[in-house]
Amino acid sequence: MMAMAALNDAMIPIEDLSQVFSDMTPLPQNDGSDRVCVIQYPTAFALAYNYMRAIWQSKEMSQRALKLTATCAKLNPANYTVWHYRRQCLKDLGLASNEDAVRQDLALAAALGGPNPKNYQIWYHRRALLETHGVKELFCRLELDYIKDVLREDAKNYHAWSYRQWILEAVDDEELWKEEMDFASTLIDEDIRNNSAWNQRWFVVHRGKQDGKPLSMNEARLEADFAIDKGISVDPYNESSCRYLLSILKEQLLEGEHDLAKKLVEEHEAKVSNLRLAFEKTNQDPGKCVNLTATWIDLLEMMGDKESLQKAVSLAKGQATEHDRIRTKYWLFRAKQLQNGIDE
Amino acid sequence: MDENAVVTLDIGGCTTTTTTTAPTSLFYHGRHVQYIEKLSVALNSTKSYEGAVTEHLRMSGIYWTYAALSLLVSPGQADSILGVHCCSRPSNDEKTDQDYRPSIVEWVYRCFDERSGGFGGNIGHDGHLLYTLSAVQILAMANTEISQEKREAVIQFVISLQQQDGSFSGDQWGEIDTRFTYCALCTLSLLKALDRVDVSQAVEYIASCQNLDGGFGSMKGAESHAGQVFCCVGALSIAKSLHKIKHPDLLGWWLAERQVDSGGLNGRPEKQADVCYSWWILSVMTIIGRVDWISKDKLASFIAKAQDPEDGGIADRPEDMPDVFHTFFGIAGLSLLDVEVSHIGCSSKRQLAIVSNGINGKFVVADVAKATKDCGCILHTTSDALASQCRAMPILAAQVNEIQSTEEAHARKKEGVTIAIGGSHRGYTEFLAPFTDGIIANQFLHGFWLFPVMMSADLLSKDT
Repeated sequence: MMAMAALNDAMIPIEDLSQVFSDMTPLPQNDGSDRVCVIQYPTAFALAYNYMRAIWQSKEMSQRALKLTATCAKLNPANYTVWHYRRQCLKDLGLASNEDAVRQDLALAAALGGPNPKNYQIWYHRRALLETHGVKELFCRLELDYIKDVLREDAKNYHAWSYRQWILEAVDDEELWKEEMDFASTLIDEDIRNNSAWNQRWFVVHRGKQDGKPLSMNEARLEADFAIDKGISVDPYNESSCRYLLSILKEQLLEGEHDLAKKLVEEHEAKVSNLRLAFEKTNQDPGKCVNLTATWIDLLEMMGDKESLQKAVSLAKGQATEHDRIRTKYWLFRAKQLQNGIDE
Repeated sequence: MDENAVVTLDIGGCTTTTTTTAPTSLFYHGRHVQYIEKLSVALNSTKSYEGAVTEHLRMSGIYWTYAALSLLVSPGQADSILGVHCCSRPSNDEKTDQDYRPSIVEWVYRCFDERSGGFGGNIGHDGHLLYTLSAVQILAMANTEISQEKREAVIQFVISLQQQDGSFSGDQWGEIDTRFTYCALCTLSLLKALDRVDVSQAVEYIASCQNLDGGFGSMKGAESHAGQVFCCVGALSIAKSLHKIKHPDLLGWWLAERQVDSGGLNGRPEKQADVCYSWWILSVMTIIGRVDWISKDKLASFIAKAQDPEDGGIADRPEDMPDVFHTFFGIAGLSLLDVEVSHIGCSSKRQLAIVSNGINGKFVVADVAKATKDCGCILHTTSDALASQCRAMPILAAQVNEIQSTEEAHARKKEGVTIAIGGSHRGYTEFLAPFTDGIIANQFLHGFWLFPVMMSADLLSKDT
């Protein structure tokens, strides 16, 4: 994280603004009225931005302009035009490809973003800097560590995950993929309900490629087992692990070797069926776990034989009438769909 | 508009388990109008801090404000409250900030960024797709013809942002996100210039962003997220390419699963419900014809509970502070739940004139039927096609009448006819504004022209 002193160096203090820009006339936000504006005593915010607008109008690209963008970004990190201008200054000053300058700007963005940044501009600034400079090994590590810090604050930060995926794909290093697999597993351990972590696992196991090539049967088996052992058995109420299992199996059915895929489905249908039995053994109604039932229905459908489909129809009707009435019409549709599968 | 105007939401009986004291079935129509009006004035004040920190996205803020208000009052009233076409203020001795403000349309044009050809979030900002779409939407709602020159500049701006793989960046800096594909295609379709970009390549890119759980993310590989799903499906719909959704039932199921016990919808598994997803998700479910897969009653109840009954406005969830963003999306969501949010009270009138040119015939019929279900109305329409469809419905007898003049509008009003705008109301709004009682809520959306919802050809066939 950027030390306070370094952060201050990157900005112009509010009290110095009038002096640093003594040669310029501050411009208030134009609201289209073109009236003669009586400048009231401006707040710090207004003063900084009034000078920023003057700079934009003059198109000055300089150190003081660069520093002013930092001051303004601190006051409002979501102001995209400020970030644009900052990058233009960096380019103009020859700093965009300078490693130290890039490192400082990444630190600045981190300092301004706070522990859990959720603004597009700050995240994109990092990417823009690295797209220009290149995601070298050094930056790759720094960035992955930074993202980890953010995810510690909020393990589901969507921006953080998108950016993380970009870094991993851009570098495409086997060691990193393996480390990332561990990282995703750790997050799932810590919070099985973290859907982003499950999504990341999918991303990593496919090495980021979305070209339709399925996992090998061995990999698929490992993943399906993981979904059951570390996911559904631990918390059958969790949606993410169920969807993960079904996606793995579906991918094999659609893109892999059909017979092997069918076998994999059968193995896991049996496992899910057993998990439901475990409910009954503790005198609980397995129907109460809507998720598990929905997953079993999908697996029975994948099995495709008449008996399985009939079972699925009956389960779907149970969801409609009793267990998942908030989605009654969906389940009635599903039951009909499954019944059509039998009739064909 | 009476600030105390309250409309009972006809959402059927629904039991709730929360103990909030606010009634769950009331829609604080008048309060919301007040809220929007107050907020838009407050943000423009030179003393407003909130106004200052959101000035860079004011274009979108105005869009949410204008669109929300347009769902609540007639176009004429919305125009006058916000000063869309002209900023007429009562003259008094002390001029305030407001008195100097330009009209919204004038202000929008001031936000045009010559360098890029797009619109910025406010005057002086760089052009960006997000604000370009909001600008074009505002101008469309205001029924303003954009100049040839500007139209071409905007088209060139959008074209310049398409990448080789069909995706779009938000501006010349290059951030890629499926949100921008939606912004690009929606902007161009509103300008009737969709053919100026490579639509099929854009479609291919979106299709490649579909995940195996049925949802869509911001890029390939990104986690499925309801907001991104809206952008992707909306884009496909505009491009008449809904068939590219590989697993529509799975998508419907993924969306239906977003409904949690409170009745609200979340954006991803295991996240909190938020009113804005009422729009992102409901609109997609409407487009793909599976809106019945959630409990509409429970959702409407959730949104209703997120209202502030005293000061108006809708928050992200019950008990939180309202904001204009959630107010807009909450109302828009309610409008898709067959909840009558316009103040047309047709039960006391025997005739309803809906001025529509029938482009969205199928959709109009469904909504007219819902809006007039109990009042045995005679529908006046300008469209033969719409008339014949309405004649087939048991409750309506349609007459093809065109209200061509203000005299005729006046005469109809005197006869006790309720006049509403439906469908693409371009060309009628101006002269009908003084006579218009309101807008059939869903139909307002079609004033956005080619809004995704209307493109779903099989919409009515799912309506069983």
